[in-house]
Amino acid sequence: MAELNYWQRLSRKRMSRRALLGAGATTALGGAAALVVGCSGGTGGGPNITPDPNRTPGPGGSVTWGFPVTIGGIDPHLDLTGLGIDVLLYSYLYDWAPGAEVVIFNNLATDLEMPEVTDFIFTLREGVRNAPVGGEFDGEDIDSEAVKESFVRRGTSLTAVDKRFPQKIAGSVDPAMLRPALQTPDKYTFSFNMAEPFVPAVREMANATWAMMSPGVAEAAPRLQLSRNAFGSGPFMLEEFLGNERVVLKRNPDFWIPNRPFLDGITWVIITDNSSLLAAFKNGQHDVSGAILVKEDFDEFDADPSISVASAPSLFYPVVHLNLRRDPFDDIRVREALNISIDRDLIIELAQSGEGQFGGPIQWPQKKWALPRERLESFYKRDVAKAKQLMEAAGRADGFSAMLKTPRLPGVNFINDIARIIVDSWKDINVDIQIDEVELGAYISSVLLPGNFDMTFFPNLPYDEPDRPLSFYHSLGVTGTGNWTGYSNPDLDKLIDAQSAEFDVEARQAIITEAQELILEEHGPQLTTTGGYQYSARQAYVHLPFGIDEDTPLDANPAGVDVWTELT
Amino acid sequence: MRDYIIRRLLLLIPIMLLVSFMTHATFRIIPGSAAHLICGIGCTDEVVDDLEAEFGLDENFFQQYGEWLGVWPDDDEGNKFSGVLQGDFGESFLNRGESVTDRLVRTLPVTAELMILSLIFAVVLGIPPGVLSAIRPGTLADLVVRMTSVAWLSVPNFYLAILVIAFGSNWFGWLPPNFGTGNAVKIWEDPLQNLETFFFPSLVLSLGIAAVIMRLTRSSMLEVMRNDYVRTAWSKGLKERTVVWRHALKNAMIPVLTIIGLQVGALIGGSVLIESVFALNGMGKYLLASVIGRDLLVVQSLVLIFALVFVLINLIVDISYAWLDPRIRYG
Repeated sequence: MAELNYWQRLSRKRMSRRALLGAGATTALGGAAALVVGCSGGTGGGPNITPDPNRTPGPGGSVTWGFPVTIGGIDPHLDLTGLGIDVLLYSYLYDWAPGAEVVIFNNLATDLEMPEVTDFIFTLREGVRNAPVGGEFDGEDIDSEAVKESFVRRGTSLTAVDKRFPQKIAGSVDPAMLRPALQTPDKYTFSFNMAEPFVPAVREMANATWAMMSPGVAEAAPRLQLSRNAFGSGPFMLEEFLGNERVVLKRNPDFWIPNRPFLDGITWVIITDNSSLLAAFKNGQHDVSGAILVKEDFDEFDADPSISVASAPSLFYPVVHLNLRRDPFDDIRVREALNISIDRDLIIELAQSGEGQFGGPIQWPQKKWALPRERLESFYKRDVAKAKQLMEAAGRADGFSAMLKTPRLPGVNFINDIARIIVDSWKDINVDIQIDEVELGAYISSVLLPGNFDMTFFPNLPYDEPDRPLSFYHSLGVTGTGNWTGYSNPDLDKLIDAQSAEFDVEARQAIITEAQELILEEHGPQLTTTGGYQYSARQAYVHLPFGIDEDTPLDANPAGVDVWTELT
Repeated sequence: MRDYIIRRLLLLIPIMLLVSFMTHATFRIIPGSAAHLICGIGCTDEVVDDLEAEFGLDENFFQQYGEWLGVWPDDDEGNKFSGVLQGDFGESFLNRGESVTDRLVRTLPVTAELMILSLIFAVVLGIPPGVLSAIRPGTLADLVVRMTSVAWLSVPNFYLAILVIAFGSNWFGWLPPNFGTGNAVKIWEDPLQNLETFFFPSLVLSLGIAAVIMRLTRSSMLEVMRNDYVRTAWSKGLKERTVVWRHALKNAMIPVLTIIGLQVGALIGGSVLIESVFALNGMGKYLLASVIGRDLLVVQSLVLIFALVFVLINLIVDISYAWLDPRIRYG
């Protein structure tokens, strides 16, 4: 008989109770130790503080804000990813109320006179100075010379895509002509005359890229590394910048508004994974959510009394760009067939959780300028039968195949969701579209800019001035930077140019409406779809002066100044 | 042995050169540059050209590579050399003015700790079950071990990571400490909190490797246990524990060690996604953002570091063969 080994002998033995209990205790102890190490110390949900309705704004405390995108730099004139932070570090001429479309003189400028529509005369506020960051530029005045140098720096910046504004000031495309065109009659008066009227200039100057910096800072910018350091005069100062990790701001004790800002500091934490960002907020590690929220998140947070939520129409709108240089997109019948066979109701239902509206050339939240809802719903009413007739008339009764290229945007999955709905709806007219998702860098360089596509689908960036969305239809392309689609309509160009020079609101509305009607009839080069909602969430103990669902009050202070927290 | 180690270290030089050269070449071939990512859809040819000139991307291939390496002068006079050989990895394009070296100093400890802990977990979770499975073949324990290894091999680690975050936060209201702050505590500042932060990321990253180790340990032990010397050990009346752990395991570990060394590559690749999901600011997350952003100098530098780590660890593995098996001698 073969001798039994240890394990075989063991398996035949009856295990004693002592041995069994010992084994169980050892296992349990080991497992418990692992769980203690792995799980203890982690956060167990948010602070769960019920906001005090009687609490009034007061100083102290800090706020942690989740942020989904790596911040490449915080130079307001060069870097585009840190603009949300720049508005807290620097002063600006004025703020903008997007709903009312008026200027709010709550910052450096106290008044703007325009004796002619081409003449801008700013009266500047005294007492705005650089924050005490502990450098050679502490306390420098932000005066008319500062504004002039800031205009030159921004107007000639490499990353200033839209050069029309500075070029119209200079009266030339030569950047060297900008400085002489800017006037500083005295220390607190800044002025310039534009070569021709340009309505978007007013909105442009409220943009986060037009930060004001002192002349010393502007001159020394190359050695100061403004992408990583800030020498501003805003309500906050930079304490730490680690663009892929976190950005920490602290209160500017010398800010020109007394007893402001309320907060001692703000910390942005960069987490690029959306689900992780959402988890951090849900568990109270972030005071303000930076995640891209959908309706389901909004509903979940709305039911939680410790979280405040808001929703507002989004200016972010995905469109299909057609390359009119390629067959069959140069045929207006084909474009119309494609346009009216998109199931926009289904996009709203599935991709926008039932909340949204049809979008025209100018998005529907821009109520003053967008075409009426009824007009768009009537024009874009899905009509597959008519679409098929158009295809037949164009000799495309059997349909055709093409490629739709989309950029891979991290965390923005709804783009592909909408693309699939559109592609599916085109199958009803025998149009077979293959979706090709392209990595972002390759998409910009190899697809979009050289016009290397049949169709492409991406969201147009939000902008609350009608000139920008219209510029996509101009033969010079987006703000003059390039025409990807090969579309050109001189009549439309004239209308687009005319509206940008028309300061009379009613007259401008009429021109813009005419331009949009012309664009509708062209059924391209952009096929607009629908616009949804954006959602925001914050812990209820953090108070903002106004939410995304409200227009900026006309008596609002600069950004960040009036944010306060009950956790002091 | 000393000569062997010196020879292997000298071999590092051509390997590092080849790896960095290939990375540089690949990046020059793939479409898009940092300039395109910076100016986005508003790019014009002029803006792209100007930005690429600012970054030195308009220089010829060899000049750019040579400057990064530190063998081509940065200035026109030919006096200034600053590159990898001088300890300067350059500056990031996307994060203007940020020294790659400074960033590496900050992120290296995070990734190093993640990888070390993951390796420890992989060994602890892989070898003992593999041994158990081998010495009790055909039993319930063997079945459980084999099924577990298949399960761990099948599930992608980034998916597990998302599940940990999602279920942890939604069901238990739990997240790793400092998850949302981007500021993991150093191990020497607060060891317990540091281990709490790295426990689940390391565990998730280790499971796939543990499964490989488990299976290889099992097959290697099965083969070794059939050898005559093991039968001799049994017949001498040695305890089971002594036969398995002192005699059989040592010889079974040689192929397992090889696999552990090779799995470092999987650790490096896995760290990229695990760090992103768990919001750990390590080299993996830095590499991912830099590849997407076409930050050439950062990618080259990180790939160089990773290759160096990989080669060094495999050198340690090779040296450890001599310790495990006295018959192995390096000339």
